[in-house]
Amino acid sequence: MTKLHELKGNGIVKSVRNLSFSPSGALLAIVDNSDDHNLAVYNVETGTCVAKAKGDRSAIQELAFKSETQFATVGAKHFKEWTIASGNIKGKMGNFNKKSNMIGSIVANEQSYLTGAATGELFVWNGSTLSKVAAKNHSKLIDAITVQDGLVFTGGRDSKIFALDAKTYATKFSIDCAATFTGSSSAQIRGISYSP
Amino acid sequence: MVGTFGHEVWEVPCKLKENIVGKPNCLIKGHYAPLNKWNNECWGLATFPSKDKYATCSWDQTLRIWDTATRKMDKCIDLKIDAKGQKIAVDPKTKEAGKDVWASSVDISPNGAFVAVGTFGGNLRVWSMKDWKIVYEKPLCKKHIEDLKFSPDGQYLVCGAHDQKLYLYDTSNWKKIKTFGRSSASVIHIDWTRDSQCIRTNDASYEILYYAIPGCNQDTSGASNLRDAEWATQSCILGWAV
Repeated sequence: MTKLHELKGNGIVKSVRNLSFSPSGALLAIVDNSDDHNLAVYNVETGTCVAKAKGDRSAIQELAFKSETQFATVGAKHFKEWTIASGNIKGKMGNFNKKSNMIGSIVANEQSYLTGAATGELFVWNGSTLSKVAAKNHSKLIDAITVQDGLVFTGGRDSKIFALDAKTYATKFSIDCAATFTGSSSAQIRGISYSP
Repeated sequence: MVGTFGHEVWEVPCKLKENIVGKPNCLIKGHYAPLNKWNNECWGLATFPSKDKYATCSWDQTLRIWDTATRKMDKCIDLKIDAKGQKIAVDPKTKEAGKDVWASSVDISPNGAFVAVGTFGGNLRVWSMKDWKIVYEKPLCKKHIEDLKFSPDGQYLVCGAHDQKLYLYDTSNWKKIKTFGRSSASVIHIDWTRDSQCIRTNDASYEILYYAIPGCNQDTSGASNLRDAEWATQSCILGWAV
């Protein structure tokens, strides 16, 4: 393993909160822990900064790319969709349609975003507008979402995992981690990965 | 693969076509962060006399035993369970476990019979390692017990706390011999001489003090008297060797 680039500065002034690659792997977006929750997007091959911006005063938890030009950031009282165009980056605040604005996790699914809310609901976003509640399986915040092999996996602070069909959002099966993870200190779910 | 808030990685076998979930298997465990604050610190570390295992303890209210070769956790003791097997109630104000169960120092007796843990709230707890029963449990003071050490002959246990005092115990009957100490600040490190006759301490005012055991009298000329003494451990950050 060799170091390719050291990504420094470009508005990132505090510890890195989270990062995400674009679908092709060409771009890397970083968000920091400063009061402005600054964003920087890098070209992975050259290590140069493509775009940078102030994120939001609200804390940003996670981010996910939908395409090579668009990604979204989520957090407490925060959803923004960002569009990168010739060195400029523009954010559009999300329209929550009166649903819970406490968001813990995000993943891209085809041309929409899926986010996990503090109410345990799974939202589908069309651009920056909350278009649909896909599921309400959890009773607490959803901290982990992943889309793999045609399935959406959600895991929450209620110590449950649900697997949904990525097209219809019908629940396929669930795992009760509090009951089955024998000897666990706390089975609240923080991350899920599936190997097909 | 599932990561949990309890700092564990679990593997869950799934048969997607039949929607069947198998028995989860835990791959990795570690100290975690249950307290609602910016950090949950891990303070205590001690090796077993045989060196094939070591113990760590943390503000997550657990004492964990690890295997040196496989780097896997052997055992996890929950400090929220008292000697009678009862769960200790949470602090009604914070709705979290009180500081008396935030583990902050650990040592293992030279014969491997006992493990002693000091907590952030000034509690001392000792387990018999044979059956993991609590053999001694008592609040020494209200302050942080930052270091504790068994004497190399196994006869004594000395605890150093942030109330500027040291507490000497007889390990044969777990009776306190003496509360002593002339530190002008929190005691933070303790070492025994190899012959179990003397201890030295470092405190938060950067002083090195020497005491003769079991009399617990300060040796004010300790620095020269013990210049060539052999020390069983080197926990002190000040002294001849550093």
